[in-house]
Amino acid sequence: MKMTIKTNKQRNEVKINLNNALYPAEAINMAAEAFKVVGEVKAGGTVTIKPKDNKTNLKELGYEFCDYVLGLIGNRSF
Amino acid sequence: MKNLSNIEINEKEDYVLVSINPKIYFLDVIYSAAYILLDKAHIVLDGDPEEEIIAEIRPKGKQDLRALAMAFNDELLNYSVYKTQSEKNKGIRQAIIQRALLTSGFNDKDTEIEDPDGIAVPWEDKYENDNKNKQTKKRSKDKSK
Repeated sequence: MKMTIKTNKQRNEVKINLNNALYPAEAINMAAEAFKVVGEVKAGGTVTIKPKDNKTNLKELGYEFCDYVLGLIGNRSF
Repeated sequence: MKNLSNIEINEKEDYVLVSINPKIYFLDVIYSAAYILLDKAHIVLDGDPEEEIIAEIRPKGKQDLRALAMAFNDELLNYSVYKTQSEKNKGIRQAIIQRALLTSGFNDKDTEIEDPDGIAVPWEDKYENDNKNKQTKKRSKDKSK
């Protein structure tokens, strides 16, 4: 799956598609679990994050999620 | 001379793409290089791990895109060398650990040293008599009570 970060300001959510060949599903799921403090998170093929407040920079949030997954892989903590 | 640059800069959208050949740099090396730059930039990996991997680097704050991409390339090389050296030294490392575990004092005969002043007396030998004396004293006290 090709990587995409799509924001929807009206619905106040960001949808993240990560390349499954490079990002292991375990790491994505672990990051999704950790991001539940930010708001509502739906994991699976596409990760959807819906922050609690509507002031959050959605694009930035999407990239932070990708960084977090990469951090987990880098630390080999999954 | 052929241009070897693997960097594609997008000034307008403030990001840089670095293409990586996975046959030259292993996936572990790419993860490590990306991880080390996470405090400076957002990094997203994409592509095919068999053919070509693309690293999208978006700086956190104002930074020179070319310098960031070059730093990423440097880290790739850095971790590549580390991995190669670490694999070369694997045998030596294992031998050192094995030796350390074998000589950690489990076998007393191997670790015996000369003791001309008689300092190295085992605890049991040194205090066995004292303990016996104390015990007999205690018993005699108890009896007297």
